[in-house]
Amino acid sequence: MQKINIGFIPLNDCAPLIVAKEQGFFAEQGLDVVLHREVSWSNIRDKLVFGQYDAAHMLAPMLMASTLGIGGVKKPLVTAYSFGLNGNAVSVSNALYGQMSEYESQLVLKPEKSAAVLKKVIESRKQNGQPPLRFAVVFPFSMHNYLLRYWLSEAGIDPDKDVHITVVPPPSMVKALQEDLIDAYCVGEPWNTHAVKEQVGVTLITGYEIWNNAPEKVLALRKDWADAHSDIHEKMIVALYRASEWIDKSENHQLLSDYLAAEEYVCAPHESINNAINGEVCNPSCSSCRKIPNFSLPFKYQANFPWQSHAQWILSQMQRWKQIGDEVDIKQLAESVYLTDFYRQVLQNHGVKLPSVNYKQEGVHAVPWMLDEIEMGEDSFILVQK
Amino acid sequence: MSKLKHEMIKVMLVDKDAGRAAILSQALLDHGYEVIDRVEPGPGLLARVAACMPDMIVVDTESPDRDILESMYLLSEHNPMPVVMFADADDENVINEAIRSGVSGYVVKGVDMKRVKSIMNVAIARFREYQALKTELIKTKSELEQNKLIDKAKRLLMQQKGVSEQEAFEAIRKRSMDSNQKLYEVAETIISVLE
Repeated sequence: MQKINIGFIPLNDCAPLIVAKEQGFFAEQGLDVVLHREVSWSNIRDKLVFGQYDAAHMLAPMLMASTLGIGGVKKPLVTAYSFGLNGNAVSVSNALYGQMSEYESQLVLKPEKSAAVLKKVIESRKQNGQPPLRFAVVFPFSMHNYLLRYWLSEAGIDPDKDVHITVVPPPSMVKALQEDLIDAYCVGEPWNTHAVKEQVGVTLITGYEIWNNAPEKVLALRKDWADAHSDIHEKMIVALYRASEWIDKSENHQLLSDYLAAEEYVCAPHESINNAINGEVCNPSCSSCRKIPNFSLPFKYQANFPWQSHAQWILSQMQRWKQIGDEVDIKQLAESVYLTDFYRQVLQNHGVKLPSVNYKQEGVHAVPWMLDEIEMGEDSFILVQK
Repeated sequence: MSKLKHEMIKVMLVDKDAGRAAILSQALLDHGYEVIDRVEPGPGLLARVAACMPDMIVVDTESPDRDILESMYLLSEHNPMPVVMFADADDENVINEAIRSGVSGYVVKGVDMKRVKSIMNVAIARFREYQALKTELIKTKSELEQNKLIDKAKRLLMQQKGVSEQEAFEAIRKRSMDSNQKLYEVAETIISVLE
């Protein structure tokens, strides 16, 4: 059996890799996969680009950045599998939450109002000559960055002028909030729940509430490697799909949580891991957690389908925030990075029923809908309430 | 970056392993680098970089702070500087590949410290090339902008004074020489008056 090296970052959403390995879905496909835990997104990208890894768990926008050669070496990357949808949230320091509460009480229960209240705080800070609020995201090319910016701008806040956005690695977020180095952040779990449990911060809104069922991490491969090894790529997709299907079954959640908690994988307490699996957003001022059933979606609603419309949205945000110029052909680049046809072809051969199109209109479905007799999730963007 | 040639290069070292950092500090010092700060990894890193303004940063590839440092490159408000990675000997092939491809540089840890100087030199050279390219690009862009201004001024003169293109250009050039201003500066004045 050929050895396949795959890098991952210890986060809940790397679960399909761990399950495919531990439950034997990779072995069933005849793949001998070695998983490598990585410490930073830059590292995982470099090791993939320079051939140390054959594939990697990666922030979806990093594939576009690498293909275009921004922020690193130019190397075309592709994907044909999404690790799932959603999973991020925005949290603020207790001090900032205190300032926000002066404008609106019980804000933890009103996520749709939070950005408008934030704008009031920002305006009042400006009048008092206070410095801009400091936000952190996990990487410049990340859904965290684009979701945060989308949410801020919907409330009329200019993310480049009215606030300061910086990068902090996920495991350092809570500490940075505690040490008053930042005022707020957008990060994946368990780093929102952890801040609440440590009584360091308050979770305002989830990624799901900013954009229903937004893309997150994908399985990244070098384009030349994928072209040369389509047989191995196909087997990887089948194994990961089986793993995602397994993760979705509630009877497997205990074992899933055990796998993720293990030292060699995510290495976090069961309790924190379970919050995202159960769709619970905890808050210090309420006795119970807010329930967001789709807080993180590993399988349902075609969560593993690599929509080219997702890739196009990401590229449009990269243009919006001047990370790339207007000369980039978004449609063509989305098609070259997202191998949607390959995913469909592979899984159709295994009897899975899939959408017949590579795009869907994003933002027009407020409730679940049917596409080719397949149930799809909602995809609305937030309407900030004043 | 011209001071790199004349003065000691100020290096900031980011490493949680104090012992290893001490060895590398000594090696850098022996090769004529000045280690101005040894920083524990953590979210305070950016503030420290801003405070001590090193010419170069050396960081362990196994530090999560790599993402912070990389993001600094992308944020134009920070003064860009070369970042050298410090990686495991196992990854040497990857590292060689990386250096060839233009990543600032990687230093293999635990091996021959004599190589430190050459690797650092390659990193600085790579960085200079990259900066030169960027400066060139900005220059080209601004030349384009200047030409656009001059064209616009010519067009306005032609339309409003009824002169030929050649006459319009001569008028701008004469005024430029008389007033000791650049062509585009004269064009800007003309546009502001005629538009």
